[in-house]
Amino acid sequence: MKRIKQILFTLAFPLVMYLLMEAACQIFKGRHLIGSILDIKTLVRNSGIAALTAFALSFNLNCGRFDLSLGAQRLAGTIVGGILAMSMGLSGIWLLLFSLGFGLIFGFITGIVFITLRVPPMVLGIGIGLIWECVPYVVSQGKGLNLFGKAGIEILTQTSFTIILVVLAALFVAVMMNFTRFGYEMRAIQGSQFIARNSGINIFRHTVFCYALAGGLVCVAGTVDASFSTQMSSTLGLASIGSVTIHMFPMILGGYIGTRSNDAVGIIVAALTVRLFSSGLTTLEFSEPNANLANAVVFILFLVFLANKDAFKRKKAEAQRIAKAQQKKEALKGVGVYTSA
Amino acid sequence: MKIQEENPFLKLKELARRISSHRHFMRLIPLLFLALLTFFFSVMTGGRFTSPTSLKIIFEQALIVGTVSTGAAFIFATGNVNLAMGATTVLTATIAGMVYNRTGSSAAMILAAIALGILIMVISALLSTVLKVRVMFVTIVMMTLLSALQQSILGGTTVSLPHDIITKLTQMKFSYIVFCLYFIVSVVLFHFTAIGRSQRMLGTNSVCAEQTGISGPKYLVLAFFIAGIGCGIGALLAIVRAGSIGANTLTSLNMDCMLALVLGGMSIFGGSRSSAYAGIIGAVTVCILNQGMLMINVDSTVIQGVRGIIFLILVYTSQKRPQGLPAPEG
Repeated sequence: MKRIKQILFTLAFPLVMYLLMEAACQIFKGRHLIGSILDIKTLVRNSGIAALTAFALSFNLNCGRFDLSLGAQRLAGTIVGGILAMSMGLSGIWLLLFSLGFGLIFGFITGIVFITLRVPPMVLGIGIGLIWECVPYVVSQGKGLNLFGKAGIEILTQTSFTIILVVLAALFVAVMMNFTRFGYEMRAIQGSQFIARNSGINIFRHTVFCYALAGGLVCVAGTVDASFSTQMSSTLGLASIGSVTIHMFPMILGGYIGTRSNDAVGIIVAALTVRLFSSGLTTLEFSEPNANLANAVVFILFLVFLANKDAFKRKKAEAQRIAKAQQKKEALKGVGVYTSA
Repeated sequence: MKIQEENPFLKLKELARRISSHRHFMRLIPLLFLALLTFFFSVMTGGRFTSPTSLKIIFEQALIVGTVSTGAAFIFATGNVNLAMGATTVLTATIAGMVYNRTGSSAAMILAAIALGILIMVISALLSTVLKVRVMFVTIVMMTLLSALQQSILGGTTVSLPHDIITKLTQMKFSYIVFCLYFIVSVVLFHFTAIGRSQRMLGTNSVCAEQTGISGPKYLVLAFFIAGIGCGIGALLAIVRAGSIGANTLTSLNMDCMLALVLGGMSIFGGSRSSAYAGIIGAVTVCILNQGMLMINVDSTVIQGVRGIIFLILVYTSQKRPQGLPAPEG
């Protein structure tokens, strides 16, 4: 019974969102939310990219670190890995593997810098993000990565491949979090970094590992994204931050859904839910700024809900505690132990 | 022991440790760095860099970043970071410009800018203090939300102000007067009143501060309030400088503010080593770096990389690091 409840809770999010957006699209535009195979492909692709980026974000964000340079790592790893693979006459899976490799390297270096400087992650992210953004710009001479007409990248654009990739990533994250020492250490650090360190966990090594994995995963997401849009532009001025922050919502929502299943499933379901919402807004002909605005408003409302979902319980417990203390005070007054000054 | 005392290398090391742990060391590094940069670029450009015209350009560029980051120093002091300072300033500038175009009154524009700056920042603070959403999340979402709101309002157009009002405000030295007023009030509030002291204490140790009766939420709202005034004034300075506000206006302001605060010697952990004047010192440093490198024909990509490297070096040399990793509860 408990398992059925968990499954229903998990599935309720995309289902309710689909029904809501379908109803809105039917009422206001007389159209279906998903009306063709292309719509399904776009939904799978966008959900896949969102899920992969959310997985990457979760490695650090779950420990209270927000890496602002993750967007720059995505650019650097995808563009440098892509250009190198193509210059060697490789494409397809190799492109993905090269990007993954460079992502791991950039993430690893960021982690090493973080444990060396030990400054707040957001501050570090700005400094190192400025440097990482320059790398693809210099390597590609400002042109970015161009995959248009390149043979062999078709596999990366196939819907089934995106699904396989997301499932593999989810399996990897689920195994890492639930059945390895890494996951055990992660939960300990989430509880208290101070206690985790004192109990012998090497928090520095763990952090570098988190940064490296985040860099690798975000570059896989970047490669899938670049394959679909056939290019990735190199940007400067920390414009890359936005490409990652938009996927914070699926990550946070995934964490909430994951409380009834596990984080990996939660993030995939959350990514699908958020993308259904975005697809609905597109069908409803919201402009891009208005859609971003709606997404941000819903996200902030969800954060408010998340921060206050136990407020009523807390207030009730507090009232009970005060009442109990009052009773005790009255009882002590009765026997003359307590006298008000 | 005696050998250790007589070893000149160890003596030198001890001297370096004592100097670096001195309370004024962190405040002197940015000024020394500023002087070094000025000297370096002056030599490299054959004196052109220190010409009155060049220095005027640098200071004018630094005014906007300096104003916004002076306000941001109050938030930094409490141990928090606000990533939405740039987005707040740009949205405020857009709406203030529209208010002027609608009313034709510069007083209404000034009032609208300051009121809106305060309103946005106070809403951000209340989301955190009353509704208990973490400041980090609030600022990240607000950054996206405000930027989307500005683009939605503009709808691909730009808000342009009539040339005569811009000329009038420029001739009045409006930017300098407003900046000086805000800067002086900020320094007084930060260094000579209970507001600044309480905020720095919260940044040093929030538990200890709360135990001594300092209300964390109250002073966080106050910090955002003062920063909101900074955003409002920054928006006005942006209007006076550019004359029009579009989707691409001040896109790097956020990053420049963070850079300015760190280059200006602000403690990135907040607390007692914070200062209100770090913003303007850092803003001048950032502008000197940009202008100097442009004058010696450095590629814009390299300029960004150099800024990043200098940022990390300064953070490394001027900040005291915790034993563990910087995260909630150390």
